[in-house]
Amino acid sequence: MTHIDEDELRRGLRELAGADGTAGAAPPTGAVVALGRRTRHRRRALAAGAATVLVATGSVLGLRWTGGPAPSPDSVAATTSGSADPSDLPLRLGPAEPEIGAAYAYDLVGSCRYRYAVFGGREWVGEGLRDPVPDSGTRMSRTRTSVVSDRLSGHMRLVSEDTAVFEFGKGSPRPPMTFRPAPGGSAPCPGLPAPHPGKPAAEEARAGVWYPHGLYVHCGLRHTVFDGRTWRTARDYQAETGMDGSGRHLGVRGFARMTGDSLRFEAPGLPRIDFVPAAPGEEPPACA
Amino acid sequence: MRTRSSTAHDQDFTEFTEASYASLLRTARLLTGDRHAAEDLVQAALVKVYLHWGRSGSWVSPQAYARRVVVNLYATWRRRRWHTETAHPGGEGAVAADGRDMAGGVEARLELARALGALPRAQRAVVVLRFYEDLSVEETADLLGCSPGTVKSRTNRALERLRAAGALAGYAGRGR
Repeated sequence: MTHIDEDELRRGLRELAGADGTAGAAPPTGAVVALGRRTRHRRRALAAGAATVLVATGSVLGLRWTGGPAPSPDSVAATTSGSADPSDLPLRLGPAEPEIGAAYAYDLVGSCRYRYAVFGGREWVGEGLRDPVPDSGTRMSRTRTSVVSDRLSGHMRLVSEDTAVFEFGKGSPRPPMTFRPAPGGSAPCPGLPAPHPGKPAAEEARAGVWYPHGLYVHCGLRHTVFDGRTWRTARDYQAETGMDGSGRHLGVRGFARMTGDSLRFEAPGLPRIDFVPAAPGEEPPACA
Repeated sequence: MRTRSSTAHDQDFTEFTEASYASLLRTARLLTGDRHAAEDLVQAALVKVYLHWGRSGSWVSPQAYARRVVVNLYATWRRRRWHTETAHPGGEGAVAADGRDMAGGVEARLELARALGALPRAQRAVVVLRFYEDLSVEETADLLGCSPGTVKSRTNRALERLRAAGALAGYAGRGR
């Protein structure tokens, strides 16, 4: 490539970087400082707890504690190329504990006409969209390419303990959507599998569609029931998710989507969890 | 090491954020190909910078440090929950904020965005650092934690792919 080509690339990158109003964006200083303070507070609390445990353990075992581990610097890991299938991208559902007033990137999924949201570990219900919208799994044309739309992108903001507002991406004519906590934790939506954990769901789920789903964890993360079937985790997620059971009952709100013989679950603050059909007759084990 | 009150600490950081946010966002926009993902990336990076701001006096440049954090987060975000990538590269970037077509090249920008999005992440990072941030091969290698030879080979491969995709055809002969 010649220097002329490189100059063209520089010019193109400058134009691309300044597109969609990036230059005039307001910095989220308040949210950053709030998140930073909370993270620092949490780290200090963890460090104090860990130090207490270490000192106590050292006293018992006669070991001498010489100090905590140094924080590891940020590092560049091996990189991989991006996913080609937009519907395979992780859902953006915000953090597990959103701050009031802070806006988080959020993907609204299409089941039940975009009425449901899972945000901050809770299920929310909005008025939905009345005009025709691309439903989950619908292939829609965009410019010269064709993409699979199973979500609407925007930002979700908790304006109070009981009110969340979804704002569509910049340039969208749609007004913000207001969400309220679902009565009783979850709201009925005809045609959807029952979202209640532990309750057998009807065999109605469509492949490729995200549905609200409650993952019920007890004695470890191993199984779930969806679409009238029992599913087991494709691999061991217990260390990764911190859901090692420990005899605690835990309900996690999120979204589940079937694709062929696999079931994917996504929830705020958790990695993707993939399930495969359980063997015939396989049931979640009873707790010891 | 300086001892500063929490208020002064936050005030300094706020001033830094306001001064550098737009620049970091533009870099992140090129890396991610998506405005919303870029905002997430920069916000997460700034939280990390905030946590280390007490040592900022020893940094050669807070801006360079923040840029390093942005790039490192971008490189590792596959493992992070907040990660996402664009489904519509350049879709919202067709028109500038004030409504005008910045260079009469909506199609050119879309082509470049698509070609950038098709690059492996490591090559995309090298292209952005070398040709947008104008870093040298050595500076890019230092920032990415790889050898200058690796930077050169990634640059060459990326440029070949961009050229093969015709990503720069729309910019040929303009702006010179």
